[in-house]
Amino acid sequence: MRFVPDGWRRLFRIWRRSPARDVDAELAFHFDERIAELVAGGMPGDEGRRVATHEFGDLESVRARLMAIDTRIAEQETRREWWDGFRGDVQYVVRTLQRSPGFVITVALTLALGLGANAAIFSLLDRLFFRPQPGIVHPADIHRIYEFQPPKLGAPPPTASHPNDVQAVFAYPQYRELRAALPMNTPFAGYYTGTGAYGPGDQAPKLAESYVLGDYFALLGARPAAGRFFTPEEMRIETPLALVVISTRLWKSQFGGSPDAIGQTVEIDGHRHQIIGVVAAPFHGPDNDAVDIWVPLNTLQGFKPSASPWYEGTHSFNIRTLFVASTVQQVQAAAHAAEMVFRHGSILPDSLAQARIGSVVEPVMPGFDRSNVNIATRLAGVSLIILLIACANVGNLLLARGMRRRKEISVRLALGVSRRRLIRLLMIEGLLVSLCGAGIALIAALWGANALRHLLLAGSQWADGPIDHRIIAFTLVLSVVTGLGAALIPAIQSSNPDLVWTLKAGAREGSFQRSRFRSGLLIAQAALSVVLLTGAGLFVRSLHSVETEDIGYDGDRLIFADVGWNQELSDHSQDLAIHFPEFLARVRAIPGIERVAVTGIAPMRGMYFMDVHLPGRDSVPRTATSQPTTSVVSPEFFSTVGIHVISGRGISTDDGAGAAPILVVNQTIARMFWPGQSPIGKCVILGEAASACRQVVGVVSDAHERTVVQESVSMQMYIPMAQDKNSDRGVLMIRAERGAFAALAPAIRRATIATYGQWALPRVHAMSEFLDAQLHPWRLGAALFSAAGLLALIVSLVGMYSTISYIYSQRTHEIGVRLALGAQGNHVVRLVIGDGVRVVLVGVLIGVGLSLAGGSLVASMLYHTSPRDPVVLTTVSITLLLVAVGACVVPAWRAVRIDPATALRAE
Amino acid sequence: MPTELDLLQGTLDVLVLRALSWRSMHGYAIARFIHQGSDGAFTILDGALYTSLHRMEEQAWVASEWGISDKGKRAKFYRLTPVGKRALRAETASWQQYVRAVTGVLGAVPAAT
Repeated sequence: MRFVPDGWRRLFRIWRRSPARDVDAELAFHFDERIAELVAGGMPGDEGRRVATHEFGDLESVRARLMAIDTRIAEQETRREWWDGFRGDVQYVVRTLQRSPGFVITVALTLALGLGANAAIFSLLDRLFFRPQPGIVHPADIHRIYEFQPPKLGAPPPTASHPNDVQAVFAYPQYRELRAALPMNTPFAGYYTGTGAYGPGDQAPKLAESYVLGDYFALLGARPAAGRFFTPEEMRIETPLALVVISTRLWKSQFGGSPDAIGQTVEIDGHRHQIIGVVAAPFHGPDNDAVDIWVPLNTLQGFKPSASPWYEGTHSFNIRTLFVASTVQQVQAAAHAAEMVFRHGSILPDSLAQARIGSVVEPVMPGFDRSNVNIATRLAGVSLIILLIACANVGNLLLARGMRRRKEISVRLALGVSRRRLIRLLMIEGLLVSLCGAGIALIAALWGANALRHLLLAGSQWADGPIDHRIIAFTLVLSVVTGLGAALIPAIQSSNPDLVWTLKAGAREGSFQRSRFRSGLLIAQAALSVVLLTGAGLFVRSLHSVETEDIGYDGDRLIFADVGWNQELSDHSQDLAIHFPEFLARVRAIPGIERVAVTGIAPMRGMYFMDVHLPGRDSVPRTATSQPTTSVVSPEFFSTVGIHVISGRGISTDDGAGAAPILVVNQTIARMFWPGQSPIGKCVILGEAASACRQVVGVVSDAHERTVVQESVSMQMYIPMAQDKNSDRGVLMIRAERGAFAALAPAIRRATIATYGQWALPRVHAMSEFLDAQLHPWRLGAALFSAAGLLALIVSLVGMYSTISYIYSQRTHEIGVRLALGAQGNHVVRLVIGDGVRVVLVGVLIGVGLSLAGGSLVASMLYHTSPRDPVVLTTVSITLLLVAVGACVVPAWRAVRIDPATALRAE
Repeated sequence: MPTELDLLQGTLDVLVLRALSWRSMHGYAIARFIHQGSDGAFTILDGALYTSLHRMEEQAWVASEWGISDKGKRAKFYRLTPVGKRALRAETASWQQYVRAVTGVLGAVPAAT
């Protein structure tokens, strides 16, 4: 046996060692020899046995020890053999795959598509939802105040993924009350994040900037890398100091990480700030947006030059709160004690809330950008479906490959290679190809994840790259699961041929067998493709609804022009009013401008509320989500922005300060205030209840107040600018030709500078800029889901084509016989295409069913589009059937060209 | 057994490896070799010898195979592996160094202070 090479011994398992038998045999030999020697030396047999036993020592314990050691040796050997076998199998599979590079590339690319999409999406979702922001000590302990929104009527009940809560935001007076109601030693902090221009000039880069209050840094566990953080004295709201703490990133990029940075001054939003500290990396604040600049909230004072303390305003900014888990009770008590009035519902008290509060990974501000996150989560589902389609495809390709190799496999089985081993070989094949796919997928994911970050969360500052060890691990695990999953059933099927039959018949006939499993894969592919394409179709329809929504303004023809000024230089609020008529005249004189109007606040950029009283009535009608807004406008306003006068008149130049106070209302107000009556001549009191009566002189068309996609009605009132004593200037509304903005903007900027001088900062924007920003999520959703649908369609097409052409390459003989018996070419074509289309039709029907059932998942993201839109479903079904016909055309063409003589002779 | 010497831990391993450095042997032959080589100066419990053999097999210093003894019986033969050969060289060297050191001390005379 010594001459048998190691590799061969594996095959002869009969001689596999048994530790117990071996040890006993070895010891028996020892005693036999020893006793024989002693007896040969003249000792009696019994005495010899006694001596041998004595010389040996404690037989039982030695025997036990030897068996333990041998058992371990045997286990080692088994493991080594397994690995040797595995290595051998891998080498064998690699050699086989090298012979069919086309197959490897097709499968790897198909899988790479699915894996890459998933890796890219996972990278995004991981950063958004699964990981706390870095540098925060005990992130699970940090809580924030959320408020509970009572569900809307008819809305589905809240779930973990659609909770009815939003992060509560406070004005400074509310924050102060809450803080005052808390025990002194309770850690509590507030912050407000915006952007600040870092450096001088209007080209300065915008960086995320946090205005902080309370124990912000200590509570989050941030440490200074240099310098120090703010002292309580420096954070006193009444005594503004221009101090700043910067991020390590900014410190490295601007100061090369030099300690000299401390004490230097930098310009932020036109103000000079002194750097007092650097936050140690990787801390970048509790939100996904990486903050680079921290200043005490008191630094904001420059914003509001007004008589009352600036920080007493209740609409100025949205302070978010932070506290630790152990003080939840105290914070809730304090909120009650301070009689904190939340906009909706109440502070979240229950365990679901704890989970929500406990997370600091909430990526977006309430009511803002949610749609992008919604898109991201839906995309996760979509990418999973693409992976499934790719899996089905790869399963089919592996199956076809197994069929082609049937003869080889039969021979191996006949030679006694175990079926388990064959399955292992085929699984390793699937695994290797899948890992190739994973490699390509990671490259694709790097690109894809970056693209997704830019598309979905364009405004965010990302602190880290999209691909890290978590994404790599995720992709590898997913590829192993995918590879094994896709290879399992093909491996079982192809390793189970009817041995005798296959060997007796030629390989060609042995391979032909209609596979229910294969049809099943095709059906699944078609069904999933229908689901994805339906999703894409719905988003495109929905985008169309949004784009064609009538907002009430001629949004694509309007330009907003306003003047800002550099506060460092001086306070020009007086100059602004004095020179305003000149500014207006200069802009009016610019050729190409049709009309210019003036308004207090640009439409859809803000709202102004005045108290409203109706004589003889206790209260003013309003809805849960709307209250009347007042716009102060010049006479040309309606004709400039595209609002129509429905009845009565608009505002005229005669409605001056001395004339009778008048008011124009929109249709909604007319309907709500005076149902069934004419509003003309009615009286409305604005502001103080004792003010003079304003007479309604006209009704104008409704226009949106906030958003393109409006959820509530607009209650709008307009008063003449000349009759509002506070309005001595405003925003210019400029009407011009569509697309004229680029040409007009420089002229408007020049007019601004010419009027006011170099200190003026012209702010000129096309209204479409703001509207486009609102349309962005809708466009993005449509684009991403269309891309996903297209991917699915391509993968399905490849799958159908390869499967159907494979099936018919195996039916050459049968078709040859048919043709020889006189079948017409078009019959054969009908046969081939009919076969393919029948299978796909089943898939389409299932897919339509799935789409109808799953429509509610995307319903919330659609606008004026039913998730069961019949047009979309029909179009998608027809598209997929056409693709199926397309996939059958080449195989059918090949089938017709079969020469019966050749096909039959090939027997 | 009055002249029995206590063997240091690991010394038995060196002796076994040395025995196998000549040719492959079964356990009983190794026991005989060591007994004769030491001129009976120390007796080793045969159980300890087998424990040492199996332990070294686990460490892959020796490999075993069933074969036929010169008397025609089935016996388990041990042979040295390349790893075992290296181990023998290393152990022998350190043993000799030890002996030299002990001998040096035993033969030394204190220097005058």
